[in-house]
Amino acid sequence: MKKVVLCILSLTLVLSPGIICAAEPVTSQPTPERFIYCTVCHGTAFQGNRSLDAPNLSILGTWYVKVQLMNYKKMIRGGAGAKNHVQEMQQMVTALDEDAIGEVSAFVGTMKSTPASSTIFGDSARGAKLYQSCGTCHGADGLGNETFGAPRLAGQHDWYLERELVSYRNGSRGAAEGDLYGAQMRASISMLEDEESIRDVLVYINTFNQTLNKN
Amino acid sequence: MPRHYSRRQLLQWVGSAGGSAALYQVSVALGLLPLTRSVKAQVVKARGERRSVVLLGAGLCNLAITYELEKAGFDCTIIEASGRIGGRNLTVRSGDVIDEIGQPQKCEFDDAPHLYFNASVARIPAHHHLVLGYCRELGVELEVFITENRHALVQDDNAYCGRPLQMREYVADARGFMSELMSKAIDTRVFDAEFSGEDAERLSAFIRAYGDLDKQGRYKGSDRAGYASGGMTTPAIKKGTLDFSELLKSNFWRRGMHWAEAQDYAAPLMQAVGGNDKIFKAFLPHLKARIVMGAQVQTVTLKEEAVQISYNEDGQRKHITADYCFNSIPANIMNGIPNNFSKNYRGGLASFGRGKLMKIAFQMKERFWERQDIYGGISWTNQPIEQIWYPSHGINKQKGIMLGSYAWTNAHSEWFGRMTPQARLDEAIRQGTKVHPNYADYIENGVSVIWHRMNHQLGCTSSLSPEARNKYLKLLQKPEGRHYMVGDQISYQPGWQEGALSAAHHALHEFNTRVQLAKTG
Repeated sequence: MKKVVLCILSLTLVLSPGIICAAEPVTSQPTPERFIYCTVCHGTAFQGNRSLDAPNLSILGTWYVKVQLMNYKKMIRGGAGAKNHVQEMQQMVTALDEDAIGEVSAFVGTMKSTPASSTIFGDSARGAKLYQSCGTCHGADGLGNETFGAPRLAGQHDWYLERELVSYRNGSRGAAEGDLYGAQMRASISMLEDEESIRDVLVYINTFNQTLNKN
Repeated sequence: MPRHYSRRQLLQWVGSAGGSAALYQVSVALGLLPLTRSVKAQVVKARGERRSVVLLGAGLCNLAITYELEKAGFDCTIIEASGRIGGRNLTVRSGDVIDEIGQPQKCEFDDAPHLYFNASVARIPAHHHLVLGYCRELGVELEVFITENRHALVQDDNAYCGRPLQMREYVADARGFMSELMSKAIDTRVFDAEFSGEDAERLSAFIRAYGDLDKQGRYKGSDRAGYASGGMTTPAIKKGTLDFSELLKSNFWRRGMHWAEAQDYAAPLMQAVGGNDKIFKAFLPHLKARIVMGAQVQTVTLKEEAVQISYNEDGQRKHITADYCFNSIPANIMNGIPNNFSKNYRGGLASFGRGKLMKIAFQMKERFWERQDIYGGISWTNQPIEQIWYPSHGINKQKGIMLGSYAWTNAHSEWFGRMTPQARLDEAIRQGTKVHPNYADYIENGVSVIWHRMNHQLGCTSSLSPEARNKYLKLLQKPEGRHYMVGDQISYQPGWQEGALSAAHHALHEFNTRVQLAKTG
């Protein structure tokens, strides 16, 4: 495998003396016209965009996207007091009825997973130990589990997961009435006692195989 | 190392280090160029096969680049994500749709030539040579935009019980009180160390003139504040003076009072007759380029000798490969479009922030402000609406479009942005009533343009912090492969047309150098 990578790298070097390009982007299926505005923030492959605080949706299963959109719709997420970008998302969902939520969730569910690149540094070995309890719901490989309402983590942006974990801890996420899975997560967050633990566990999550099919 | 450089050596050095814009500025400073110039971008004539160019975004910058490239014989295609040409140069008129994500609005203004407002691009300073040069070249008629109006109002909840004051009264008294203090300081000879003899006398006279003080150096009010009454067939009665401590409680002295002193806001400013969108529209009849509308770019792929773009058109995925690409997509949206740029270049694109500005406009059934001596200009308030603008165009007509708010503070724009369009109008009316009682009685309808919520733009502007600019702007001003990042974002003047056109000319200079090298090499 290493040899192949080296070959490709050296070939690229020979071909483009001026610049070294990353891998060419893969085009995905066209987004239906009525959902294009979702991609303005979340990226054209639903891969997320940190500049606009938008998480990676391409890795998520239909069921999770639907649950969260409904949470926004019911103001369980994005109510007064939430951060501006969360309220912005809430605003986007007000225009969608349940059928549209079903449709867009199903479409996002068919997207090919685009893995995120890591931005956080920490102690992966310590993170692996801490992750053991997380894995009970989210799966040992971070692929998530619908039965427990646990989303896929493998391939999600670490900056997003960090932000959400902090939000669970301080109650700006998961504390609203009716947020069943959020309440579970809020109860579990105490296992990550400080910022360093959060970073370590995220560094470990970044080691998961991000290209596996989603469930 | 030689201590003296010839002009030629210096210009060569400046040109290679700072590009054409720097070269121009230094040339002006050395007296080698006339200060006003016709704006010509020099582009090498296209020859042979390499002549296809794809431009991402149909805003002013790319329209100008297309205009220049086509004159030199290049074949251009423009890909535009939204349903309209012009980008953030947006003039809103009767029937227009404001394409805000999630909650589009329709403008209900009456259909009349003067009933419009410029939602972003609003004013052109005299030193914006590229904008003015293109207006001259393309025949765009200009008129004066009233940037400061001393008859406009100043309102602050924390001063004078929130009562609005005429700006001229505030400014005259502020200067009068300050000058009186200075005058007293002179009397106590605190300046003796620095000023003596004639200098001290001149300073004393300067202070009296600056504040309109009496011969004893006392401020007793000034006709600069406007008369309380009379002055024509009866004697003029001066206004009494304001309370200085109340005056200081108002926030007006922090920003609004000095607004028209600033580099880009000093009078006179200009606007295009009939709406500032006339500026970008003036390019269109001259362009041959195919403009693909409603086409969101999906990927940007740098190839060895080309740039490949994939985009959506009518629900289909399409591809176009060109020899060169000029990209004006806001960097924070480009960050969500898969590409194969180098890591450093991507780092630059990822460091752009999202400018949050917003305007709320009302159609007024009567131009009531003109009966209060306010013709154009801006009133200032410490409330989240921040500014109220009176149109410079359509003076003395029955109706007018007035800006009920122009907010620059992120928190204010975010707050309005989270509301429904109707709630924004209601809130602007509530606040505006403190500046103009009975304000609501004149309002017929209104619209809001929340720039950080506008589809395919999500900000006005997309701009770098000073630190990020130091780190990345030079890199982003250079081509990445055959791809040039452009737009006002790639300049020190984000949010200004001059920034967009300067970035256009800078990129054309880079482009030119490459094409010339390819010809000679």
